[in-house]
Order: sequence, then C-alpha cells, then structure tokens
Amino acid sequence: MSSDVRFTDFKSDKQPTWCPGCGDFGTMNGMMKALAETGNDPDNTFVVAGIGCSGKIGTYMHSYALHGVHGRALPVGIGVKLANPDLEVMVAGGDGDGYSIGAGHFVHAVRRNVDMSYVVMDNRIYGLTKGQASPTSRQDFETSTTPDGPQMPPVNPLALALASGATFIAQSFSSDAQRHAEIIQKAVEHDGFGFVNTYSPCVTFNDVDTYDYFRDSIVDLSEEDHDPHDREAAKEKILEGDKEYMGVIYQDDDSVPWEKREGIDQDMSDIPDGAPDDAMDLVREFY
Amino acid sequence: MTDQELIWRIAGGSGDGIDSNSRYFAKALMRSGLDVFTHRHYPSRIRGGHTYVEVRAAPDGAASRGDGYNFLLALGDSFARNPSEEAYYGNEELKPLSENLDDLREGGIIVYDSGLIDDEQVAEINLEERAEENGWHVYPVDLRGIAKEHGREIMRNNAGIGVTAALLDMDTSEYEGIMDEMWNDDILEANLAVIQDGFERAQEFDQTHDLEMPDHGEPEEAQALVSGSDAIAYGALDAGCRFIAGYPMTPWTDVFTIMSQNLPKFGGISEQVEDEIAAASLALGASHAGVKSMSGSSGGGFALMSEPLGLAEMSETPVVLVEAMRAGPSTGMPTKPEQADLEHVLYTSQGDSSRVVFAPGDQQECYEQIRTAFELAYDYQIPAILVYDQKLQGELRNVDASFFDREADGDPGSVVSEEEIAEAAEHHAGKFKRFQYDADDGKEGVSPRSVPGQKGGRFLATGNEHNEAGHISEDPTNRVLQMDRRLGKLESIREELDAKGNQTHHGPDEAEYGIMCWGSHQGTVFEAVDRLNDAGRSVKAIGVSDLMPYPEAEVSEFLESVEECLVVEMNATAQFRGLTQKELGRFGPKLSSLLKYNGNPFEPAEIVEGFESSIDGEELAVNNMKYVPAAGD
Repeated sequence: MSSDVRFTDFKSDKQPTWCPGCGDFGTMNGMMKALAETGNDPDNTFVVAGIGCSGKIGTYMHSYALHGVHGRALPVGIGVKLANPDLEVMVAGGDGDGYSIGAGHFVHAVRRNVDMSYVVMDNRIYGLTKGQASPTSRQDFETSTTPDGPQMPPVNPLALALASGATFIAQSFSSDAQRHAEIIQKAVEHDGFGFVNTYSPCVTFNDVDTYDYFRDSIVDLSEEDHDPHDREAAKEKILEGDKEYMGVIYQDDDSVPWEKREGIDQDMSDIPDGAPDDAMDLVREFY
Repeated sequence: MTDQELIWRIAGGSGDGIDSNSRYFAKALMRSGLDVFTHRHYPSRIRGGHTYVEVRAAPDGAASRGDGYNFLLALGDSFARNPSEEAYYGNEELKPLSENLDDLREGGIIVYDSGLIDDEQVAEINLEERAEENGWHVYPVDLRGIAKEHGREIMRNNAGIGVTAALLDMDTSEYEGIMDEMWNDDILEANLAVIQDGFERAQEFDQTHDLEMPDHGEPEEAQALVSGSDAIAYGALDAGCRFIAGYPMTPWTDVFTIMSQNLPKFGGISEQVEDEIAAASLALGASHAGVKSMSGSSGGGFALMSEPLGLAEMSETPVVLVEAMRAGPSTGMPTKPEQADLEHVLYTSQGDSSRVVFAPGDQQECYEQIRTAFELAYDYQIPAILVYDQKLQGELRNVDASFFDREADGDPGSVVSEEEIAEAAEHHAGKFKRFQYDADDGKEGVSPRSVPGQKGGRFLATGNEHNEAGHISEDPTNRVLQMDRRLGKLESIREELDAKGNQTHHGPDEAEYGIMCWGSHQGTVFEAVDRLNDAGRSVKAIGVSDLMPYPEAEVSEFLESVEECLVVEMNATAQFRGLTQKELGRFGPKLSSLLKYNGNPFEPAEIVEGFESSIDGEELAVNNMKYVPAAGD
C-alpha cells in the first residue's frame, strides 16, 4: 500500500457524539494513526464494532465498516478476514461488548488467532445506558442497578486472553496518545490476533476509574525491565492484579495466523487445481 | 398400498450398523431397477436403544415410507446383551423384535436373530400366537452364530441380508458389488461368506410366505440415492456457496458435515465455531466480504441466530440459512420430525421480517430451492432461509443422477464494479451511497452494493436505521423510505417466484376437494390423494414451498376451485393454516386441519383416513392425530 496514507484519511465527516473529554476520542485517534502508520489503505480496511459508545466508531472512521450486534463483532470480523485475507480487519468494542455479552466469542477468537486486531475500549462502566456496572467495574462500585456494587471480582481480561492461548496481549491508555498509537500499531503488525485492552475513561458516569486515577497508577512497561517474549514474566505481571500496566505484556514471535496454518489464506477466487466444477462429482459417489 | 412393494424393516440397537446396512440394501435395490425410499427411526443416544430403518421398494415410484411394513429383520440389541453394560442399557435385546410387531402387515415375514433372542424371550411376547392371528411367517436364524463363524459379530447384519435375499428370491450380486466397493480383502471375503451362509441356510427353510421381490426391469438411467441433506449440499455447492460456519445440532449436523467434507475440495471454507450466533455471524461477515455464504441449525440453534439474522435484514447482507426442524419446544425430541418451527423461521428477531423462506417438499426441491435461495439472497441483498425437517433430512430416495448435472452458478449477485462506483451517486462528503432509495439500474428496491477492498466503495453497514450513505438516522422521512424500500423487495421477489412455480400440484384440476401441505410430507400426501381418487373421491393437492413471500395468487386460485380443503401438517397448532388465513384474509370456513405431532411422520393411510373423517364429519378412529374443524364449524 502507498506510504503516503495519512491518519486523517481514516476520519469521516461525522462529528462524534461522545461526551466532551471521553476517552474514546483518544482511543480512535490512536487506531487511525496505527492504521495509517502501517500503510493501510482505508479502502482496504474493515472496522467492525458492536453496540454502546464504542460501537459508534465505524461511523466516525472512513473505512469499510460494520456496526453490528452487541457482543458479536468478533465473529463477523473473523468471517470477513477469512473470506478476504487481504483486508486489514480491526475490531473495536467496549468492556461490556467484549467481556460480558461477547465473552464467549472473545475466548474463541483468541484461540483461533486469526490475523486481525481487537481494541477494547475499557471504561469499566456502561455509559450509553447511563451508568451501570460492567464486567470490569470494581467489586464495590455502586450503580443504579447494583446498589451495593456488583459484589463480584472484576474480569481480568488479560488473564482471560492468556488462559485462552493469546499470542499478543497489550494494554494502553487513550490519554497517552503516543504510547497508545504505538501499542495499537504493534497489535496491527502482529502475525495473529493482536489484543489491546485500552483504558478509555468515561468522564460522565465513572468517578473512580478516572484520568487522574490511571495517570497516577499506570506503570509503563517500556520503562521496566520486561521482556514481552517471556511468557512466565507476562503471566506474573498479568496475575499481579494490583497494577495497571501499559505496553505489550506478551507477544509470541512464532505466532502463525490460523488462516495461514490452515492454508486458507489465499484469495477465494483462486480455485485450486483439480477442484470439481460442480456437485456432479459428489453425486457419482451415491450411484 | 400396492401389492407390488416390499417394505423391509431392519431393527436393532443404535451402533449396530443398521443405518449403513440399510443404505447398502436400498442402493442394491435401486441399482436393480426399483424405486426406493427409506425411513429412519432412532433415539438420541449413541449406543443401544431401539432403532430401525425401513426400505420401501416398488417398481413405479416410492414417494413416502408407505403404510406399515411387510418384512422385519430383527437383529436383537447386541449392546444390551453385554453384561457389563446391562445396568445402563437394561435388558433390551428383545426390543427390536417386540417393539416392531404392531406395524407389521398381515402375511408379513419376521426374521429374528435367535443367537441373541432366545426361545424363552420369544415365548414371553406370545409371538407364536400373534403370528398365527396375523398370518405372519416367522424364521428364527442364528445370525450372530453365522457372523462369528466367518468373521465378527458385527457382520450379523449381512447374515440377515443373505437370509432376506433367499426368502425373497433376490439376486445378491448388486449387494455384493456394493460390499466390494466398500471393503477390501479379508473384510470383504468374510462379509461375502456371511451373506452366502445366511442365504444358504434360509434356502433350506420350509418357506410358507407369498411375499416376493417386486418385479422390475433394468434401470433406465443412472440413479443417485440421496437424502434431503445431500441435495441441499449439492445445491449449495452448485449455487456457488464457498463458505459455511456452523455448530453441531441434530438434525442440522448432516448438511454441515457434508459441506465440511466437500467444500474444501471446491476451494471453499468450512468452520465449526463456538455457537450459532457466531456461526451465522461468520457467514454474514464472509458474505459481506463478497463470498457466497451459508450457515444453519435446528430450532434451538436457530433461535440463537435471530441476532445475526436481524442484522442481515437491516444491513442488507445476503446470507442463506438452513433450519432443520425437530420436535420442540426447547430440546423437545431431538431425533423426531415436526413442523412446528414455521412461525419461528418466519418471525424470529425483532422488528418486521424481510426474508425469503422456502420449505422444499422432496429431494429435488431441496436442490432447486437452495439454489433459488442463494440466487435471490444475492440478487436482492436479503437473508434467505430453507426450512426442512428431520424426516426429509434423513430419508433416502432415488433421483435420476442427471437431475444434478447442471451449470454451477458463478454470478456474484448484485455487486457493483469499481468503474460503476466511480460513476455512482455520491454522498456530499464523498461516501458511497450504499443504501440509495431509488437506484434505477437494477431490481426494484435493490441499492448498489460494494464489497470491502473495492476502491471508493467505502460505507458503513449498521443494524441501526440509516440513511442512504449508511449513517445512523432517526429521521422519520428517511425511516419510511428505507423500510418501504427493504420490504418492497419482497414484492419483486414474489413476481420472480410466480414465474418459477415452486408450488407442486397433484391430482385432477377439476377436483372437488383439496388437500394442502408444506414441506417434507408432500410425497405422502400425494400418495394419499392417488388412493382417494382411486377409491372414487375427487381430490387434488398443493404442496406449498414459498412461505415468505407467500404465493397468494396461486394458493387463492387453488382454494377458490375446491369446496373444502384439509390442511395437513406436523404440528399441534396448525401454523401453516394460520399463515394461509393471515396472508389471504379469507377461506377460513373452507379450511380444516389434520395435525400430527407424536414424533412420527404421517403414513399415507392416515391422511386418507383423516380426509374421509373430515368429509363425513366423523371422529378420527386413531388417537395419534388431531382434527381441527374449519372456523365457525
């Protein structure tokens, strides 16, 4: 693809309806920068999202896009990628989309390791429905529908990904524009399923997991002595639980995308040699 | 029921090889020039339990399982005999004999495996007395012993085939030829020895029966023995389908399996995924990217697909789904046929439905209609559903092999080229008008569709209501224009379908009475119609395949031409009759219903009886069906 793609080429004329100050602005900018930096053509890029504030991202980006059903963005994205492996497929979603209603799809998408990226805009709350607990909300986080807090430990998405056999696990913070874009770019470049959990604060409904909270507590792995290729070290960091890490936590450099392993990464219009023309060849077996 | 027919029932436990042997037997009869039709009855378990397959063979067409049967080969349930498994399976080895006697016709033949079923057990069920009453001819043979002598116990089915052949004076060469295609060397030799030994022992019997193999000439042309599922898979492949995703569920698994085994040979992709939501979503995604795609399930899994199905309707993404019905509600009876998912496939998912739904009536219609489903889905950018059931899924029937020898469909449907995109109407901000209200160079209501990767064709597809460029919109004027455009496609589709004639008519045009049905028991209904006319009644039938959009004109014409019409369907709430009245808004006083929902398909005689009692206003003599009179009666 041409190297003169600019990130603004990925921007649509639609003004986002996100609240002023929403973390999703930064998250989306980073996605567009990463796509442009990796030389992707918007005409050859497919963005899939689900429902919620995050779901609207396809409206604000000017690529091919599908704004689908709550929690089901990943299987649609996999179908698109398998049908046309030449497309750059990026799936976006919120914490409810990915870790609650779509948690089953998340586990299996990680396992399948198709060459695509998945950015979860994690604000630890349900924003569009006006402030209910999400699967990453804290145990004592009181909301209108969980008056005493969820009283369940939050999902650890990184651990879920690791347990499912992830080949790329990263975390970023939408407010740290440069690091966020770099991390997404690494996910896009990864040969396989590039998963990034992005802290994307909700300024309207979440007064706990705020910009200030993340700024104060985030530990940037690029400033630590962390080797993302060391699975044991990654496991330790992921399971620590009391730190908010930023950066690529785990990456398997030997990852081979599923479609390559299965030999189905060719364009589907290329019919293999000796392929039958029609079903008549099968009918003969039933004579 | 004709005199010239054999209905051979092989009964045993699941896992005894009943299914394979009956298939070979049916194929042998088919190759010898007979028409064949099979019917399977099996429980939802892997080993043991009572299972049987019937093979009906007749010289001039076999369109249903027929009534009852006239030859029983009872193997005994070998898994029940294993003492270590007795606690789980119970002492059921007698069942293949005892459970099958009620449907055996007078004068029928019974062959049972005396190596598994002993005299004491036979005495328990008063077989001798019952045989005398019904004129049955009973031949105990130690099939197990024969099998063990020449090979392994599992080969006792073939000993039974040998006995069958001797009793019916049947040439075993076709069957042995099939064995030769299936097995090699030692296994083949052992099997042939088992068949031959069974044959010779039966020849020594004092044969008292009259039943013999129906007369037949040489086959006029090559026949293929296919199930509804085979035909659906062939049709899908010939329609250009190159992607399938699914999750196993009985009875849908058949189509999924056939496609999984064959699609890769055609350069296509088959994926088993985590659930049916994902299955339909992957198919939708692949289709969105320009590959003809399908998915499917049975009722329970199809319920999960209501989300992606609604998205396909709203985003106008073509996709083909198959729904293989089984008895419901909920888990219902997994291996039993029913037609109670009609309203489920028509209306599931929120909002007004815009989809195409077909219910094929036999194997040929399965092939034709899955092709039409793909054609319409991709021409009109709409989901299309093919609904069939456990009955048509599993029954095998011979079809002229040349029927399937047709051109594959390479047409990608209504997709625009990059050149056309460059000239297409554009949104003010430069986005391609994917959902244009009034595109004039195509079919009514169909807007220009680009495929990801094409230059300049970028658009947003969304499950929200959207404007011409695909952006979310709650503007009332746009809403009505888009809804009317999407729903309007069904009218154009109706016109195309009227030209195709998916409905099947049977019986004299000028008949006094009508019978209506939909889906898999069409052949059974037509057989009943023939018998009624032979007996002096004046009856015709219509098998309806187009469920949405409904064939209003054709069905109206049919109903106007008859005095009364009996609607025959396999469910408890007369769903198809309800649909007909909803769509046509009249004929209520003419329509009565014959319903069956006990898990077994109709036999032709039951429809004859149901028709007679509907005309005479009499109670049904049997309690396995229900008659619902016309509105106001």
